[in-house]
Amino acid sequence: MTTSRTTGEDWLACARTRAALTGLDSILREATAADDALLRMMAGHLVQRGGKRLRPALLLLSASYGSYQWTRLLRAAAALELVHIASLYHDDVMDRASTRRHGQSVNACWGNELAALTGTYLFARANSLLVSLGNEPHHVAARAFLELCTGQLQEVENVYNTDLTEAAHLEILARKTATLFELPCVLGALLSKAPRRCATALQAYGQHLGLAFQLTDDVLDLPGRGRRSGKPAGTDVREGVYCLAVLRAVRTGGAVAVRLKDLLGREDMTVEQVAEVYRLVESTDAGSAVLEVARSYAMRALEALQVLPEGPPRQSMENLARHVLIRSS
Amino acid sequence: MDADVIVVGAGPAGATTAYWLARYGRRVLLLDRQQFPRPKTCGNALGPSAVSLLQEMGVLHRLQNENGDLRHIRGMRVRMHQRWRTFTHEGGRSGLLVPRIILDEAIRQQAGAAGAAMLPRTRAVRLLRDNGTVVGVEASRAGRRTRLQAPVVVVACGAAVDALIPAASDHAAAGRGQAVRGHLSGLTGLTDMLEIYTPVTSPYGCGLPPSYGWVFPTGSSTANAGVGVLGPYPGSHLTTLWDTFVRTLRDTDPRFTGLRQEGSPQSAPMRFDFVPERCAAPGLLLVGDAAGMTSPFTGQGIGPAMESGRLAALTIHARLRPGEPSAPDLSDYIRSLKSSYVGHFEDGNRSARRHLLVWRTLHSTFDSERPLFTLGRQALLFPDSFDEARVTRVLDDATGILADKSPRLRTDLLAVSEVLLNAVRTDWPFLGRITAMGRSMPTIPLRPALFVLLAGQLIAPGRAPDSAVLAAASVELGYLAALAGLSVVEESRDGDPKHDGRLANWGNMLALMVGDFLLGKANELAAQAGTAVSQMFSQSLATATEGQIRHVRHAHDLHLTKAEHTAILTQQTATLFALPCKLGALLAGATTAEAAALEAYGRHLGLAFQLTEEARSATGQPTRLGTTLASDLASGIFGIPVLHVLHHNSKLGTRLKSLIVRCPGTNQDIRTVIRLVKEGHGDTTARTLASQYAEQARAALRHFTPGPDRHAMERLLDHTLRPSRPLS
Ligand SMILES: Cc1cc2nc3c(=O)[nH]c(=O)nc-3n(C[C@H](O)[C@H](O)[C@H](O)COP(=O)(O)OP(=O)(O)OC[C@H]3O[C@@H](n4cnc5c(N)ncnc54)[C@H](O)[C@@H]3O)c2cc1C
Repeated sequence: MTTSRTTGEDWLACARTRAALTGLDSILREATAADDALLRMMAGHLVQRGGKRLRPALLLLSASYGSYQWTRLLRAAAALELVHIASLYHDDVMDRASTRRHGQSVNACWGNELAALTGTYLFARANSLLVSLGNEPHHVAARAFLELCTGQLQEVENVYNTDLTEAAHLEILARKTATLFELPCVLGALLSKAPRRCATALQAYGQHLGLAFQLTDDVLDLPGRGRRSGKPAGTDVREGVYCLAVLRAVRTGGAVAVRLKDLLGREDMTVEQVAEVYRLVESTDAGSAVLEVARSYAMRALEALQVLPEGPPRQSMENLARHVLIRSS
Repeated sequence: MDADVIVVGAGPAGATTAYWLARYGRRVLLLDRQQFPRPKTCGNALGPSAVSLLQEMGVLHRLQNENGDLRHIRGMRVRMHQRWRTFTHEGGRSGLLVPRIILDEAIRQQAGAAGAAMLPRTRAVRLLRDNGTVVGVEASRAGRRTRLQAPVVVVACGAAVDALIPAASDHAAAGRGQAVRGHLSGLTGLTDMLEIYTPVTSPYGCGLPPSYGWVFPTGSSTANAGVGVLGPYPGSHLTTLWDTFVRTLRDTDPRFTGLRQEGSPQSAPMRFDFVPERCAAPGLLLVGDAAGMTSPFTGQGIGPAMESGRLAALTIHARLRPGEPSAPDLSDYIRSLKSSYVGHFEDGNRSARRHLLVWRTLHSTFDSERPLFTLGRQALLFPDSFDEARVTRVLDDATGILADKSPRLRTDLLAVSEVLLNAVRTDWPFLGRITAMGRSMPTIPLRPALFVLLAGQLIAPGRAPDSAVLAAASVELGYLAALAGLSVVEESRDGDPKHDGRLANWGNMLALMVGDFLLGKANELAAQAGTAVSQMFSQSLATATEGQIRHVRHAHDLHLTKAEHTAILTQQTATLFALPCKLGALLAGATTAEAAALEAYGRHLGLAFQLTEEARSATGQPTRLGTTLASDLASGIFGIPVLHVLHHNSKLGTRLKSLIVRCPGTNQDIRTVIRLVKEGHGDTTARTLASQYAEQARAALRHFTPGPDRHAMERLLDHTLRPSRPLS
């Protein structure tokens, strides 16, 4: 139930943003400080390992179309990074993941209970940062976090559901993944008081980009596509979380679909059956069809950017969307 | 017009509707396609709320007169994964087992005695409509068709409702089930408890809808037994499932080795596709099984059938004006269903999927004693123990202490509850139930909302501002979120490759997701209440979480000092009491000094509360937090009483230590711990500390002029130190 493993930093063509990001660490460190030594260590566990800082970067870039105070922007950027990390802590407990960002996960080091609590602690700290920006930014963020949680609940509610419609599946993805792409764009525009046109464009960009990322990841994570996602292959199918390629394959009709319907929808699948499901899915063109859908979202993200003035920030955001286009072809 | 109201179907739902309408003086026509008395395939079990309804209608009296002693039921035992759990009706309440041929006839006769006219052997064929409004039914009797007209038709025809009101196609399969019922004899060891077995192992493996079995004792050696399935199931499989169930009972339970089947089993459909919005249309109301009101977890539907009948009658009576040409507005019925059955049954066409998820969680957490799951289990398996009456009683408890303040507070507390329920209901109705119950659980002994409201009153008397209501709801949801968060557990990770194939841990998954969702809602409500509220909310969340983390990491730590322990409590528990006081003060426009005084009050009250509970636990009493000394020691939680003896009395301390390190499990061990703590004055130390904190809280209140508001808060302190018996 995790989001994208993305890209290097070469997409970030905006020198100013790149420079600003280096200021993020000290805010993050300050925000995760705690009196308790163990808590400090647990809270800083992933922060220190870096990561792509994709959300902070998007927020800073989105603020380029108005005027702003650096300190406020950086606080918002740090808050989003912390919420992202908090959600990873909770995801890793739920997924029983033992590794994260090339190291041990928090739950692997200190156990589920402490990992879960530390996630909540990080959320609280992030929230304090957001509140300090004023009521509107905080309220916008609060609504987005709620969307995210609702999406997660909807996802578990639909485990083992082979009848989930494509629209419902995409709605879940929009809530649980795309929200955290959309929010930095929206907040960046809001905090810099960008003109409405730009704000709308940025929001659309964020949402479509998020969907494009997630859909691409879901296909590339299918076993046999040669990408290691950190989870043991097949966990998703066994746990009843069916990605769009699987759902589409079920709907292709014919013998493959019949067999898939037979195998899926139950909790007692053997390793062989899981492998068979993936073989069947690969035997259809569902995977490439979903990549096509992902590309169309990436295209829409690119189109949304058209209304923005040209320059390094827009260039960077375009690079990011193009990166998805490349990965998905 | 042939009547004021036509009721189609004279089962519990229809007869109850007819009874109340007749009592209100309405002309009622009650039709049923069958001749009464008639049998109905059923488990025949009634919960205490159904029993009280029967009593109110005088049916209980009639049953006793005509049938002598009734079979009383004390509660329910549930067997899941080799383990029994027992749920008992509290407060002198009990359930009943009554054959439906007797029960239904008694209710119907009572309706007749109240003045309802009955038409037996009359089948409603279709609803008559005029411009979309229902104006009557076309009925068939002895092959002859008649048109019967009335301004309101109540459809109470049970699971056979499709014949009158065709289901929307996407509803067709979802929310439908089947049950088989048979009679067993030759049993031993039966008591006055119902028995539920879940799941019933299907010979067809996983992939089929979940199922449960029941054994309801009808005598010392006989029982009504059956299996129910939560979804579509091929007919032949159902018979096989029943056979498997009976065989398993006989082969695995020594009480049942002499088991015999009496007669052949009967099957009947069940519906749990309740959607409040679907239950009212112009000129039409749906009640009972026709409205899909059966619990998918235990199959109980008689109580809801009667309750909905009563609510329908209330609405009709309030809205139907004789001689008025336009159809009455019956939408109040939807509202009352919603508030009576919040999350009891789920709503929407996603209900079937949610049932499955909840089912999985129920099963994977059956062993768990964590708060979310204890609460959820009760809500699903034994909803009767958490009816509205109980929720109100708890409200009464707190407001009772506050005597003259109560009417005002009650209104405000109810406003808080409404915000609370509305916040979770739309997305996830089941949480509404948990939320409603969470308030009545000892786990949240003093409602945070109470402190928000009281503190506000002290500053500015009068109705609480909307922002205070929002803030109070936010805090309560936040605490429920914390409760869910506390339900995350460790898993044995033994690196066994076999375990890679383990099923998902639904418990941890749900605990985190539900916790995050509730926290998200709480945070959003706080944002609605304003920046200052959000700020305090986030700060307190961080502090309390840090406290909880320290609490967990110091579990089993015998070297923890009393001072460290108190520091942890200050962060963790005291924060949770201080926050609502601070918020109440803030929103009532308190000065900085006033706010600080109220915060100090809350903080010290919190400590006094916690220490009192620790003293109770150490002397072998259950706490208002639902823990016991045994459970505390097992999770390595040592309160002041134990720490005091460990560190301040070398002789007793050494003995206590050696006892604690081997994880005392037996009652004998626990009794020894209690004795050592007593000898070492551990409990009195905690109580003394508690009184000192209470005094500090009292001192903080002296910032305010004496008066009824201040007095109410002082009484809460007394209540904290000398808790009344835990609520039953
Ligand atoms: C096997 C089984 C076991 C159960 N065990 C329990 C239990 O132990 N405890 C419990 O609380 N619940 C139990 N239930 C659920 C319970 O039986 C129902 O919830 C309850 O009967 C609902 O009452 P009702 O009045 O809505 O419908 P019903 O009791 O079904 O009554 C409907 C009436 O309408 C009449 N009717 C139908 N169609 C028409 C028509 N077109 N015109 C005129 N009349 C019509 C029927 O003849 C019938 O008399 C069980 C259900 C099943 C199937």
